[in-house]
Amino acid sequence: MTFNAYLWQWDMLKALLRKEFLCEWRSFHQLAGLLSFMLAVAYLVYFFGGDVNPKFWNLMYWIIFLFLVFFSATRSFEDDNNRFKIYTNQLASIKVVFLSKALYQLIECVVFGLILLLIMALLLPQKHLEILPWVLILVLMSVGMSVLNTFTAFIASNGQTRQVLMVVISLPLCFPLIGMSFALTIDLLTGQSIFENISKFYPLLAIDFLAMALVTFLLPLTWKN
Amino acid sequence: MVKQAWWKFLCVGLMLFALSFGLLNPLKHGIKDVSPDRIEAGTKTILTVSSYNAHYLNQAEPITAYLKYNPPSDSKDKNQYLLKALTVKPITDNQAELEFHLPQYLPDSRPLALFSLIVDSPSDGAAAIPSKIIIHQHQPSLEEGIRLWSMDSHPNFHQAKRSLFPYRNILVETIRNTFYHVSLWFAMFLMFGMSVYYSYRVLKFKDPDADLRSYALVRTGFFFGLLGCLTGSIWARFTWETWWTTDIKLNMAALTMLIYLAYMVLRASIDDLDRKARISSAYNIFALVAVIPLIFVLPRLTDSLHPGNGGNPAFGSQDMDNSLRVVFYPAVLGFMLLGLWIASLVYRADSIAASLDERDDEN
Repeated sequence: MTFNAYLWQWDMLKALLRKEFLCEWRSFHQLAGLLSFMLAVAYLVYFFGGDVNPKFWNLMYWIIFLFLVFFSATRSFEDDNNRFKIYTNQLASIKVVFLSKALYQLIECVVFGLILLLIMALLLPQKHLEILPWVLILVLMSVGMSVLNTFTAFIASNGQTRQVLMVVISLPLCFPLIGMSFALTIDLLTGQSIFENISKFYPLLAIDFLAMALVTFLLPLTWKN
Repeated sequence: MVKQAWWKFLCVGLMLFALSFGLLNPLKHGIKDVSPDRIEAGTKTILTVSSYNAHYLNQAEPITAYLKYNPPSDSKDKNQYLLKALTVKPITDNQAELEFHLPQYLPDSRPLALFSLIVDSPSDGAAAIPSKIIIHQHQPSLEEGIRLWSMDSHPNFHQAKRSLFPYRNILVETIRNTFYHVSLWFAMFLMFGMSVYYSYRVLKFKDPDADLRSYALVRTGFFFGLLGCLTGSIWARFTWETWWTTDIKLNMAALTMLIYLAYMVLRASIDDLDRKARISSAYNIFALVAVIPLIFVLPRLTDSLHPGNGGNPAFGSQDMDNSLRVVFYPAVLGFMLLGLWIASLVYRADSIAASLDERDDEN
């Protein structure tokens, strides 16, 4: 591929990403719905949970996070109708389309995770909560999560009951990712230093790379209609 | 026919061998319990042992018994310290009274020390119960203890005449489940692996026949996985005393089943045949790659009751001995062939159904 072609793809990616943000902005009510859901559940935990211990706090955080992520990922291939699909296929390669959606998903994941962290840290303060390591774990997890979820959303968009199908097929696949970040954050909340033993991060990184490699291999084979 | 289907005959032979020999071959002579297990040094004591699969009453040569000192794990002394029983009096085939005259001092500088009991029955072979007996001494004296417990010549223990399965406490007769429970999982992985190969063919060469083969293999593998859970659950009931535990390997296996259940849900939800083949093949490849860290990586990082995980050895000398291997390897091969056989039948039924559907559509 020549340099110009790369440049063209880069422009394409930027345009598609812009389109995602634009679509999201136009249907702001959906985003607002997700945010109010997040607020409501966090408040519910605050109101009825009382003095929550770190384990419960961690569990609540990731469960609310998963709900948000699944819900927003289901939408990523939903709005594109067939005419739009054909249109984008003529203009851009599927890899670029997928990359734009996954990148958008990644940004959304991290932003949701941060807002949720702020809300929960305000309502239910934890003694050992440190923002920076938490954000690192959140980003590492979101990379794998967004790739996996965009791919499963793409697969589920071929089926009939999209939303149920999406959760059914992606939840077991995401399990190692959830388990790994869960174990890391519980260490953080109970006051252990997670950077002492850097090898704890390897499985998380490995799953991220594995997911990316698999998607690059499978996507061109699955796409063509 | 024999030439074409030789592997089916092999399968039947191996399964018959694994089932008959695996279930009928008895266990070796073993010690279930001994009482009392706390004794004082410098006394004359009678220990009553109850054994398993022993024939104490009809022995041509006399039965012998020894107390063996278990050094602490950081000990540098590699010598073995044994004490022979004065008399061994068989009561029934599986019960005997051993009389020991314990010296005043033990080969240990602490007041309490751990000992194993070895009973050597000439026709059944030697059996031991490790670290069961605690002996208490009033005034520890290491030099005296070493002198009193050293033997001039090391005794030669008898071996069992036939190749019998080893006796392990807690496991006892359930040790036979190794042949079936473990083989089922091995066969399941073979089938999932082969289905991934056919899924790859679907994606690469658009081979609709390969999709049927892959689906048949996944369903058979799933069935084997369920049987693996079931045999494991029954085994857990007898050894860990619960049907299901929080053991990581169990829950990861359950998750594997969930992933493949999702595969079937996905297949059912797509109508278009071509699209169904392509999408479910992609998911199938993804699924196996996701399952490998679940089963092989995650359990090794945390504590587990399964061998090979949480620092336990996988098929080390503790788990497997030659008498078990003789049945285990044929059983693994037999279950794999059985799985492929079932999958081939499922595939043939599916392809007949598909061609019938096509004929109906034409008419």
